[in-house]
Amino acid sequence: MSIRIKIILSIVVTTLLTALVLGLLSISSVKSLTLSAEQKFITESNSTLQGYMKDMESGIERSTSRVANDPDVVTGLAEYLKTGDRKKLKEAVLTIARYSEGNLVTVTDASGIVAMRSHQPEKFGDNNSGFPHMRIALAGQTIVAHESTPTVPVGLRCGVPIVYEGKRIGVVSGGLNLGTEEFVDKMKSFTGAEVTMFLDDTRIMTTVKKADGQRNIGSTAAESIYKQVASGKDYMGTATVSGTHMYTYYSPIRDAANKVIGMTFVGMDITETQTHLKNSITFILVVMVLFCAAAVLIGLYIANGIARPMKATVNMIHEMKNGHLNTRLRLKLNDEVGVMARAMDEFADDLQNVVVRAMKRISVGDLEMMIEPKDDRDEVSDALKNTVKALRKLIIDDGGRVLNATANKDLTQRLKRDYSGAFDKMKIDINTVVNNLDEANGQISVNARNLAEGTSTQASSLEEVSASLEEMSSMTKLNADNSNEAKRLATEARAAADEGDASMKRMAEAINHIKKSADNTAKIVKSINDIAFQTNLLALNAAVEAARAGDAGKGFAVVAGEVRNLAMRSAEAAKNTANMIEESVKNADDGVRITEEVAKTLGLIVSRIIKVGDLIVEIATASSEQAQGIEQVNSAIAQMNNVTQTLSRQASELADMVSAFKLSGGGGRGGQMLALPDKRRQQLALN
Amino acid sequence: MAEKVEKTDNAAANLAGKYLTFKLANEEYGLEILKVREIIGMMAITSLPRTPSFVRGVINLRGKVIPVIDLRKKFELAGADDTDLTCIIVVDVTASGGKIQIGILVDSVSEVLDIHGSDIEGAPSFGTNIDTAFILGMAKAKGSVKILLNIEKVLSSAELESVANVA
Repeated sequence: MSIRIKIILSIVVTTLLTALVLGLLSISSVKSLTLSAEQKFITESNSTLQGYMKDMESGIERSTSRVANDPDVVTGLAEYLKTGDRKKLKEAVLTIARYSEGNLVTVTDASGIVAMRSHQPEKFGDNNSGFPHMRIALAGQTIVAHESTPTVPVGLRCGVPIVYEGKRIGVVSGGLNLGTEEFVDKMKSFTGAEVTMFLDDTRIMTTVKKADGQRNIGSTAAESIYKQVASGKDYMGTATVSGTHMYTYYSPIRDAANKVIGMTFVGMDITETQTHLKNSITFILVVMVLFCAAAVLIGLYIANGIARPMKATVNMIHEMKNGHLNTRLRLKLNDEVGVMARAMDEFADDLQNVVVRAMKRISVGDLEMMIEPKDDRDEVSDALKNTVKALRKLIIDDGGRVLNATANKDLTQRLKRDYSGAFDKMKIDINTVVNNLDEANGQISVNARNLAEGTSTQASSLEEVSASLEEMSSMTKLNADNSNEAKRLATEARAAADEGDASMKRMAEAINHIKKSADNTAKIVKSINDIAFQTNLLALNAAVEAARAGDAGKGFAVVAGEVRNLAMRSAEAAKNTANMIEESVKNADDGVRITEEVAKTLGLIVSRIIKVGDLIVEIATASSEQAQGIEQVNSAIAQMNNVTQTLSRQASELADMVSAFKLSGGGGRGGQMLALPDKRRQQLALN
Repeated sequence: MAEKVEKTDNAAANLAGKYLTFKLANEEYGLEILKVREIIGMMAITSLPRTPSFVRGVINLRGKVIPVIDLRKKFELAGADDTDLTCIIVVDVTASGGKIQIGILVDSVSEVLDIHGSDIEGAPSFGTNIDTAFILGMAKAKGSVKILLNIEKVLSSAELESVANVA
């Protein structure tokens, strides 16, 4: 929980509690005051009512007694009783009724039979002895009590015995109707409260008017209230009568037998007071809430007054933690918070101006500043001072000296002082660097010399290579020429072979012709053969006929023989010709075979020639590629030559540079010039 | 034996005369010239069904139908193809009905030889392929031996009959 909330909470809770207590107290006191006022009023009203009713009881007793003691009445009754003549009685009663209160007088005889009514003079003879007051009065006792009759639901009755000549001859019964408008209105004007007369729990007469303006007659009272009053207890309290909120006093009406037969009611309309009460309570509550609100606001204000500066301070500390030193609080408070703020500002100033400025100057290389600690417990200044001291030692005194010497080509200096941590490492590193430089330079001078020698050797090698390449180049050219010649010859041979091929074909044709001729000849020979054969047969037939003819046929036989010979000669010739043809055909076949062989051989020759041609083309291509390669090698050699020269030059330059250094291994400034082979130096100079 | 020889000598003397020689299966045969009517070269032979196997068929010789006998088959020699030299010798034979002409197929016809009786020997009882009844005799001529055929005996009468019917 933050301070703000704590402060606000404490203020609010306190105020709240206080307001609560005070409010509640005021509310309750207001309530009780109101209540007691109501009670007081209602009690007074009730007392007034009861008192008045008591007065009325006395009054009616007096008047009834007067009637009962009136000589005219007494004698009149006596007369009536004796003679039955009512005239005197009637006159006496009417006269007196005019002047007494209530106007309700009834005269009865000793048994309660009515002799005369003041309000209904002609009605007599009925028995009134049933009434409670009558009974008592007939028994000889004067009685005043509340009594309810059908005609007078709420009324006072008084019974006074009439005594004539020492004997009870009757009773005078007087009554008063309490359930009249006049009565209740009068009571209301006396008490200032609403008045109601109840018979049991029913309103007989009341001043309370309903919403329509009529009196609220006939309705009943609340059951609980009636129950309490019926049990003999007064009821004082709030009740709703005819919709109106009232403060009421119910009192029982007792009859002669002390039985509760009804109630009296006085009530005051407390709606207004209740409203006032409610308003007061509301007002008090509102005031309470306002108090609390005010408390909250005050709390907020105070809390902020504390929390905000604290937050700002924390913020500033965070900023300073992150290195932002420009924040200041500048609170114009005069309390402890203000004091804290001012101290923070001073601290930030100190940090920024003194410490950070010192560090900034160191960072730009200004090591001349003096830093004085504020006291012997000032760790910050002490640390700063030592930092500056260490840096000065390393950079200016010791390290600076060595680096300065090295910059001026004196490689004999080293760092000698003692250091720790990273500074020590730096000392070792710087010393190592200078050492390495020292050694390296010595090494370089040796290497430069070796390099110079090497490059001269290389240059001469390159010349030799160049010469060889020349030779190769010329041979390649020769190769190319030869292959061209070969190609030409191959082409010619190919042409010749093709010609030979053509001749071969012609020869084959010629041989075919020969064969054809031979075939034709063979056909002719065959026909000659056939002729010979037939001739032979003919000759034989002729011989047969000749033999048949006997002697006459001898000559014929000779002819036949000659013909036969002829035939045989033909056959012979044909045979020979056939043989010759056969031979010639055989020769032709041979010829064909040989032709084919020759053709095959020629074909072989052509293919060989083609192959030769291809090979020659390849050779030519290879030769040209070779020539190209040689060109490339040539140019490479030229480049290498250039490079070698450059190297040589650079080697001598390097040697010159190195000799400028003063080395700890010996060799002063400008000593030991490199001895290059003279020839090479001349060459370099020429190139 | 001597008688037979004599008889044979006499018979041999009777056999002298002109013979037409022909070749058949490497053997030289001779036919009496008077029996030969004609010699013709190979021509179309119409074969007939239900004829003995040695009957090749018939030929039409200038309007005359002549049956042709294959002598190789008749002599039960090995068969051979007809060549350009194959000839048909038309011979006259005596059958029951009279003279008829039949042709015999031979490998080749050689010449007409005049054979003296002294050159003729009787038919040996063995040493030749054919039934010696057919053989008139053996003739020596021009360094070789020619078998003189008795053409009448070549075909039996029954065969002759059937052959004649064919014609």
